[in-house]
Amino acid sequence: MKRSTTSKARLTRRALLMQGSAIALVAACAPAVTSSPSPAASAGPSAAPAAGAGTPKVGGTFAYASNVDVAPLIPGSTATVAHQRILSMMYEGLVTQDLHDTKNSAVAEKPWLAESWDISPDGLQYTFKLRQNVKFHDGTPFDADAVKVNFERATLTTSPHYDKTVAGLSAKIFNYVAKGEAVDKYTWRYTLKSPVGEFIRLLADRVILMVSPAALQKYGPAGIVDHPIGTGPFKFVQRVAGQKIELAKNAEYWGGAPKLDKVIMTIIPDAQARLAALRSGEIDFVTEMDPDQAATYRADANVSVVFNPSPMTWVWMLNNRQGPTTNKKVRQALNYAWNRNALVKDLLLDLAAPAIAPAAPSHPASPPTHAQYTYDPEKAKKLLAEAGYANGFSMTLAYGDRGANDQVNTLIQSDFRKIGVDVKLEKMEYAAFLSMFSKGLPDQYGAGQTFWATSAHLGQWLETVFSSQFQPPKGNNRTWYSSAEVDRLLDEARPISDPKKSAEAYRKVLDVVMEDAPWVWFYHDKNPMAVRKRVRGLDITSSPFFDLQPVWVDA
Amino acid sequence: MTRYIVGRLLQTIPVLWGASLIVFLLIRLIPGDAATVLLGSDATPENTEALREQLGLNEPIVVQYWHWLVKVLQGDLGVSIQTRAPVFETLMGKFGNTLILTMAAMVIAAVVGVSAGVVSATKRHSVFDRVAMVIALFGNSMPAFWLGLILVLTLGLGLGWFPTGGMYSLRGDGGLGDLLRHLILPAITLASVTTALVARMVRSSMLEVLNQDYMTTARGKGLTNRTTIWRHGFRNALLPVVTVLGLQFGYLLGGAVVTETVFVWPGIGLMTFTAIGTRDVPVIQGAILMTATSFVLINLVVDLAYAYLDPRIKYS
Repeated sequence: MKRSTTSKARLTRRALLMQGSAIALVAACAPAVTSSPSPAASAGPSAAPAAGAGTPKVGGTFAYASNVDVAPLIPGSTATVAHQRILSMMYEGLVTQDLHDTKNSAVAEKPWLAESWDISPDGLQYTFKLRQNVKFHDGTPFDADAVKVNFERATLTTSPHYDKTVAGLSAKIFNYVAKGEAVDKYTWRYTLKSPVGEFIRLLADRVILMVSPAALQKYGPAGIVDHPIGTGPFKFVQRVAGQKIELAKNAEYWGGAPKLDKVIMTIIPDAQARLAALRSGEIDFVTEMDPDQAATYRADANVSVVFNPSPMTWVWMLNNRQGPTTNKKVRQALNYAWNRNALVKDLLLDLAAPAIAPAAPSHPASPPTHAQYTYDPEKAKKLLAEAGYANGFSMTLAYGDRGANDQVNTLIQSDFRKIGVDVKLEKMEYAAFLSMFSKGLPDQYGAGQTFWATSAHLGQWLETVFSSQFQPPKGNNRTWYSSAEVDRLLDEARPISDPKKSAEAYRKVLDVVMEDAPWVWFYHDKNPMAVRKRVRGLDITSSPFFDLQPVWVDA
Repeated sequence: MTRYIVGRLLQTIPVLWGASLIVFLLIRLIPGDAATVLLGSDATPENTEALREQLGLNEPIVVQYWHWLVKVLQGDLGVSIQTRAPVFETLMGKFGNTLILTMAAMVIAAVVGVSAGVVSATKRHSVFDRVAMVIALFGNSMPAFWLGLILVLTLGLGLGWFPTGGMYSLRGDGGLGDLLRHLILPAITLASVTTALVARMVRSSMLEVLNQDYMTTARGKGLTNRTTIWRHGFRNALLPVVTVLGLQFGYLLGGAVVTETVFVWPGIGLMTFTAIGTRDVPVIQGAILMTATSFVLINLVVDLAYAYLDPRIKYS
C-alpha cells in the first residue's frame, strides 16, 4: 500500500486552507466521517460568522481567555487541552489535524512538517518526506536530525534530553515503534513492531511536537521551559505566571506570515469575569462558558456563540468489579432509566446532545450499529428484577467539583430512584477525585462520574478505556471492565489501516461495549464557545484546537 | 524601643515556622497531588508516577519539608510545580499588585470612613448621620462578589466608564492612567466593608470622646469648634480606629480572594487560590510565608503607632 501527496497538491493546499476547506486533499487518508446537519440542530461544528469573508487586515491582537493556567511551555509535558492549545500555536508536528475542516464531525489528518508519507506494504514502515526550508524560531533548520532529537527525547533514556514525563505520555504512540531513523537529511522513518492502522492519526495527537534541537542543547531541560522554540506561526514573547502568555507573529513562517501581530492567552478563572471581559471587548474569544450563560452571550450583538462539539462524553463509569453493577442487566437497566429530554433540553438547555454511545459522534467507530438505549423505566425495572434486584439497591457515586456536575448528577439520581436504585452522591474536590479515580474505581463506589478530553477522537481510545490490558496502573480502564471479546476485537482492529475497514472493526468493539454497558453515557457536550464578531477567518471544528494563522481582527 | 522592636521581630520566626509547617502538612493530608492535576484526566497512574518522581513528590513528606526548609533558609522559595517559574519572583510581582489594590482600598476606607464617622458623630441624629449609617450597614453586609458584579455590570459594561477586569489593558502599553482606570472598581469593592467598619467605629468612638470633660475644657479655653473636634476629640478617638485599619490592612494583604477573582486582579489571593487547586505546594508555602510576614509586621507598626498617638503608652 502506498499513500502520498504530490507536490502539485501541496501547492494548492495552502490556497484551500485559506478558504477554510482542505477536505479534498486529505480525503484519501481521512477516516470514515458522518456528515452533520446544521449546528443548531446537531452536534456538528460551526464556523465563526463570516469566516474568511471581508478584506483581510494585517496587524492587531487576538486575545482569548483560558480558565486555567498551563504547565511549562514544552510539548509532551501534559495532555490537557488548554496547554496543548497554546503549544500548538508555537510548535508543530509531522502530521496535524485539519483545523479548517468545519464540515465533518471528525476532523481529518493531513501532512504538516512532513509533506508526504509512504507506508510499506506490510504496514510496518512509515517513511516521511520532510518539508524543506522550514526553520525554528531560533533559525535552526528543521530536518531529520531535529526529528531524531525529539524522538529520543521521548524514547532514549541515555539521551541528554530524555524526559520521563514526555516518555510516559507519548508511550501510547511510541510503544508501537521499534525504531526511528533518519534516512537522509529530509527523510524520516518509523518502523513499527506490528501494524497499527491508526498510526498517522496517533501522530497528529499533539503529544509529539518538534522542539528546536539547538534550544534543547543550549538551555537544557530546566531552561528550555523559558525558551519555547518551535516552527509554528507564532513565537513566544513572555509569560506572566497566573496572568497571561503573549505570542508574536512569526514573520518567516513557512506557511506564510500570520495576519495577527500578537496572540494573548489571558487567564480568567471566573466564568462571570470571562463573560464581562468578552462583552467589554477586552478579549475576543472564550473557550469555556457555563451553559446558563449562553443566553447572555447570545444576547450581545457583538458576540457569536459557536459550537465545538468536542469528543467529550459525560458518563458514569460503573463498577464492573464489585457490587450489583457487576451484573450486565443492572448496567443496562441504568442506561434505560434516565430521561433524555429532561436532562438535555430542560437542564442543559440544548447545549448538549443525548449520548448515543460511550464514544462521541466524532469518534471513528460512531455511529454504532447496536440499538440505542432510550428512556424506558419499565424495561429498566424488568431488567433489574431479572438480575435479582427487584427491590433495587443502593450505591455511591464519586465525582469531582468541576463543571455543572451537581445538577446533572442530582437529576440522574432522581431518575434512578424511580426504579429503586438509591444513589448517594459523594462530591470531592477535583484534584482529590482525579487522584483517586485515575488509579481505578475503588470498591466502595458503584460509579465515578467523568468525561474524556484530548484523545477521545482516536479508535485507540477504545483500547485505553475498555481493554482489560489497560486497567490501572497501565491504562485508563478505571471501571475494571473486562471482556475477552472486546480484547480480541481490539487486537483485530489495531493493524487495519484502511480507514473504512478500521472504522468498521472499531464499530464492532463499540457494539459489544454498548451491549455490556460498562458505563452509563449521558450526553455529548456541544461545547459552546463565544467569539466577538470582529474576529474573522476563525474556523471552529470538532477539534478543541484552532488555527490562528489565517485569522484577523477587524478594527 | 529598639529592643522592643527586635524582640517582636524575633518572635515572628517561630510564628512563620509554625505556619509553614501546618500548611505543608495540611496540603499533604488532603488527597490529590500536583502531578495528577498537571497531567490532566487522560494520564495513567504510570504517567503520574513518572512525573511525581521527576518533581520529587514521591519522597517521604518529612524529607520534602526538610528540603524546602533548607532552601528557604538560603533565601530560595523554589520553583512552581505548575509553571516552573521561580516562586519568589512570581509572588513578589503578585504581592506588589495586591499591595497597590489594598493601599487604594485603605485610602478610600480611611478618607471616606473617617470623614463620615466624624461628621455623623458631631451631627448626631441628623439626616446625614442616619443616611450614612444605613449606607455603612449596607456596605458592611454586602458580599464583595455581589457588589463587584453590580459595579462591573453597571459602570463597566453598562456605561463603559471602567474596564471590567485586569490590571492593565491587554492591548494597551500600560501606564499609570491605565492602571488607575482598572483600579477604581476593585478598590471600591474591596474598600466597602472596611469603610463601613471604620465609619461606624469612628462614630461611636467620637461620641464617647465628645462627652468627656476635656472637650468641655477645650471649648471653655475658647478654641474653635473645628480645632476642638479634630485635635482634642478625633485624636483621642483614633486608637480603636487604628487597630481596625491595621488589622484590615494585614487581612486584605493576605489576598482579597473574592475581589481579585471577580476583577481578575493578578494579586496574591488569586494566585494562592489557584495554587491550592493545582496543589502547587511551593507557591502556597511561599504565599503563606509572605502573608504571615506582612501581617506580623503590620501588627508591629500598629502597636508602635499606639505609642505615638497616646503618650501614656510606652514600650521598653
